[in-house]
Amino acid sequence: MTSRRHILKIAAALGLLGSMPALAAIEEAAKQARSADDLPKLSGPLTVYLGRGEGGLYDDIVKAIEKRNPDLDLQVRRAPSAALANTLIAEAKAGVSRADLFWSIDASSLGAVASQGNSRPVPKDVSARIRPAFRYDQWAAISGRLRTVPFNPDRISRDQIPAHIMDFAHTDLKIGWAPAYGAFQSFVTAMRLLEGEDRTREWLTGVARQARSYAGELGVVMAVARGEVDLGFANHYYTLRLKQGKPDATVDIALTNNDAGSLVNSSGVLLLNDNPLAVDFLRYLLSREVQSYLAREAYEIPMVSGVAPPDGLPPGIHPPDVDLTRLADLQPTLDLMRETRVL
Amino acid sequence: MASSRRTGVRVLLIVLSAVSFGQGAFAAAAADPKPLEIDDYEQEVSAMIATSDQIIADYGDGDQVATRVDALVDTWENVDFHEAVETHAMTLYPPIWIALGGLRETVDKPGAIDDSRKWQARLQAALHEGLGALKLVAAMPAQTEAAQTLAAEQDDRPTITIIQDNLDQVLVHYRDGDIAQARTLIHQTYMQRFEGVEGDLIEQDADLVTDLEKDFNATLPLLLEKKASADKVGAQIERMNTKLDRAQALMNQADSDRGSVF
Repeated sequence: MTSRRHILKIAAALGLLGSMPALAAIEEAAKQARSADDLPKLSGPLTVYLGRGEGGLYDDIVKAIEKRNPDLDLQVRRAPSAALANTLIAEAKAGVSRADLFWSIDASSLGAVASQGNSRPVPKDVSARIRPAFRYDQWAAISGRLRTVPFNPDRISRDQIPAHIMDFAHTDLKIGWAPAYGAFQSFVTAMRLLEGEDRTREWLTGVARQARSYAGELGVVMAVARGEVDLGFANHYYTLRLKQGKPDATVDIALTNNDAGSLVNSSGVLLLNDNPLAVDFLRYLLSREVQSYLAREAYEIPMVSGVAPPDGLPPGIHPPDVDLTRLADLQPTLDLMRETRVL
Repeated sequence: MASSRRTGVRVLLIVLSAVSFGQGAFAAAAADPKPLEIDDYEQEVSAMIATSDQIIADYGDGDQVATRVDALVDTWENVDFHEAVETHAMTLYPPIWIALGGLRETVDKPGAIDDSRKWQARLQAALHEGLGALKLVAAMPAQTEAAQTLAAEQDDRPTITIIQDNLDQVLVHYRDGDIAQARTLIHQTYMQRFEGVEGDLIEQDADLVTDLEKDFNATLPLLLEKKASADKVGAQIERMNTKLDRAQALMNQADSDRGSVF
């Protein structure tokens, strides 16, 4: 913000106010995704801790960056994100820094490491390319997963669906959910953080009366398409994948407004030391090509401006303002879910 | 100290949560791990424990020992045991770091004898646990659950092949009368393996996914629940394996159709 004011002052001093659209265009261009063709070549040793992603697509990206940069001496350690976070904390506590960069599939693992003071701030010029709602000082959001309400348009119309997640507890709609699923538990955690324990308890109890449980959220979406339930709660990509393979599947997506029902959780990167190569590697992850690949192949929501989200998402995504790193605080959520016999 | 303990507890909770979410007690870190040299690791662990004993004894006598703990950390970083634990028993790796960190923090303070001994005991326990895990992996590579998880994590085979092998193992457990183990393996295979590929697969053949979901979550577990004959369970697994063969063919096609990143 300071630099923008500074630019404006200089522009005024130089009598360039008539050129403001051009200045705005320059500033806007600085926020757009860059092509990998415009990025510096990566050269030298770099150690990346890589939390496993869906279907190995993150691994494909790392390999593609490596192939594109033959002088990059890349060491990759692959393991579940939570386990890597744990290892990073323990290593740092012992005064050891082995990794330059941590790419995690979930923000909570990043938060666990960052909260120990084991990270470096994201450079401003990198952060500026990330969509404003997902800019954080300590980590860089890479791609997102959106909570949605898949519904069966043969059974209910869009306007029968509550606009707010808390109102689902007061309907007679038949609902599918997957309480044992990690993404669902993160969603309930967000609700607990946003609405408080009492309201979340009421919500769980109210929805449980009309809910049918499934093992996973793909199962929820399939059940909606089969008409077993009117609607469900699931991450967005299950519906998009189903529609891609089966365009006539009877399922559509609705969104709630500015509450836990429209939570966007994110994968992200933590910079663990001052190695400039780590920052440049991060720039590749935020490049137009990588962001497009994530949207195209993993159906994830790109976090940089200028890259289209996956096809099939309805307009009007209004996620709540919640600190994603706090979603790691699962235990009170599990306690609530057990207390209400949802789990 | 209290803060350090809280950190330690928190770290361990993360370890436990990783395990409880089905990621197994062991995880792979290297694509091509070195063979296990248990005798060497035993010597390295013994030497580290002897060193820590001497350091704490001298600390108790009032000596400044911080640099010696630093040297012990260097030793830990360089021994082969380090890489072996990191590779073959990852969840037992952080407790060693935690104990070293705790020890280092404690000896900076004068007179914290009791705490230093507690951290030393934790270090010894963590080293022994790591060594024990490596012995387990070395001694029974095909029989222990830990080793199976390790093998799965390190396995370069296609996920569908791993799923099929797990289902065959379900039948082995069932024939042996270990229904609980068979049931657990079905659930783990679904949550840890099938869920990772079903996203891709559903684009290729959504009905096949529905079918397999039903097999994993209803048909097969119900046969176990009803104590069906092993032949019936085997026939059901054979049907699932046939569907999984088709899934593999579809995924191969999807892989070849997938565009490149750049």
